[in-house]
Amino acid sequence: MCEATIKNEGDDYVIQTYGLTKRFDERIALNNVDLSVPRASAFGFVGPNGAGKTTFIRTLLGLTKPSSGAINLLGYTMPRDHSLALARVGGIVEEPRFHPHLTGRENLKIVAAAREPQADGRIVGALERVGLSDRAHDLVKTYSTGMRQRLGVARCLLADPLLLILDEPMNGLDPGGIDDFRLLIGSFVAEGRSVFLSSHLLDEVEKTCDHVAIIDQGNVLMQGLVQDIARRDKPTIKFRCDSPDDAARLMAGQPGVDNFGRQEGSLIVTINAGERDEIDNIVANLNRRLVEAGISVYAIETERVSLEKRFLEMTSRLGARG
Amino acid sequence: MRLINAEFLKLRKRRGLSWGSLFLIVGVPLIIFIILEILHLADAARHGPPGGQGAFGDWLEGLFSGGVVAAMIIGAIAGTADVSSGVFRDLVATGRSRWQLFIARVPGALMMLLPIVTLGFVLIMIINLAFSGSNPTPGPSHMAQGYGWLLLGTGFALIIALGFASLIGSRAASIGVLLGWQLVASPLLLQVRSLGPARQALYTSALARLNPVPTLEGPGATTVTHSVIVAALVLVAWILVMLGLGAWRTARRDA
Repeated sequence: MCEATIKNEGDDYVIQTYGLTKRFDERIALNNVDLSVPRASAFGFVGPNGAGKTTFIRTLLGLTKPSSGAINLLGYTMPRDHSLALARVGGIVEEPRFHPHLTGRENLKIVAAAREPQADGRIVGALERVGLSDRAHDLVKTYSTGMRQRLGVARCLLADPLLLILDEPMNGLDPGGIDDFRLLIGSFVAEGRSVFLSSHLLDEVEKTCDHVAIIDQGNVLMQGLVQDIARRDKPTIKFRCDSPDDAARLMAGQPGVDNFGRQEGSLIVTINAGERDEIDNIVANLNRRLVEAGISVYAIETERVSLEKRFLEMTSRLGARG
Repeated sequence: MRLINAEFLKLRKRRGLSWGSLFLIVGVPLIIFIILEILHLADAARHGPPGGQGAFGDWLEGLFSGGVVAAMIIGAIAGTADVSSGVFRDLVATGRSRWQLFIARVPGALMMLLPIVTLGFVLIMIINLAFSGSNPTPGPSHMAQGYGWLLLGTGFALIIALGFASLIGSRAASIGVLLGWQLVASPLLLQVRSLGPARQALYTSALARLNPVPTLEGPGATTVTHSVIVAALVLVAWILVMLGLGAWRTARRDA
């Protein structure tokens, strides 16, 4: 393991891996994974079952040793500085597990005892935060799946975490539970915490996360902002306006316009640009032209392919190559 | 200390374990006492009083046997509780060293066992002092030595069970192997004369050698170990090996 190659860039990134590889005998579960998770972001780690998501998380948390590569967690080198690194990390691996014969509060007490002394004082607040105060004195074996997930998050909060690592946190939750969970994750990010969550529920990742990485067969295929990954190669802008025919005529010869057409009372324009600033300028100019021509613009929307479609394109591409 | 208290909490909240241990250590001697006392009251000429100095060693060995079984069950559960419940990985993910997580199990489990053993000892003391009839009663020195030996033997059994169970990782398999060894294999090996002095390596022989109170079968009846130093060294070796194996496995296993 080449720990010496790690640079301390922890101010910008909460997780960085370099050439991370994990082999189980002949099978490669993680293949040379380079990943950077920005601070104060909700980062989705998506991939099909068996892609290597859980192995990656287990390796991050020091539950299993990597075969090669390096990990930087909150600016600390893993596994060398695991005590320092993990002190401010809360993690759920696979489904959260507890001692079923103990109450929710007692289960938190068990894990708090393994953390810094202040963790004991966070138990009540953590239970309140996840809405389990009323059931804190009930045995965990009476808890529903959603309650166990929430108790798992409460257990993470005992660390007052800078980083939460959640493995498939929405598995088994009903729509209301998923919505609650999404809000909870959003509130963590708003507090400046970073959330790294793995999931195969692409729609949920798209709604919950701002950054995403796609993994398949142990390889990270792509990582970046959700909107960038989900976007087409050339962005398509939809102008909803009162006179799409007039609007279409105005588009001819406009700088930055690659293609345009009408669609159900809207003007669809493909922009010939890649950078966000450039795209924004072109869209602003087009909007100005439409308004100056007396056309009322009701809405401007970026047409995106869904993350799911992008994911399927990428993973099937890999499959075809293999 | 917080880790040790957490280990104790995990164990004491298992009702089956608490009541089972209480039954083995306190309940069984109590039932035997009631039967013996009824027999004595029914026919005092044929059945002597249940207590007194002569019976003290047998009561102590009986309590020791039940205590060792309970200790092995407690030790095996303490050694496997985190792994079998799946909580071990959450504890490891806190960044706490695995060695600390392992070693905290020992005092936590002893906190569960020793009060029950003490309660059992108090019971047999009451029997031996208050129901001795005209027989002499055990002296304070005998009582103190007997209590010490009981704590040593049951504590020892708990530690080796904890180490072994941490090595194996399976509660049921650990309890099966440990009780099979304790109740069947070890006594049988002790009887195989062809093994000669090698039998001194059996901890059952070492513990019997350290028993300060002679039983009705006579002093040292169940031991092949003659030297107290050898007996002590055998016990220390067993503890170091079993704890070492348990700690090694805890540190190395995928969580």
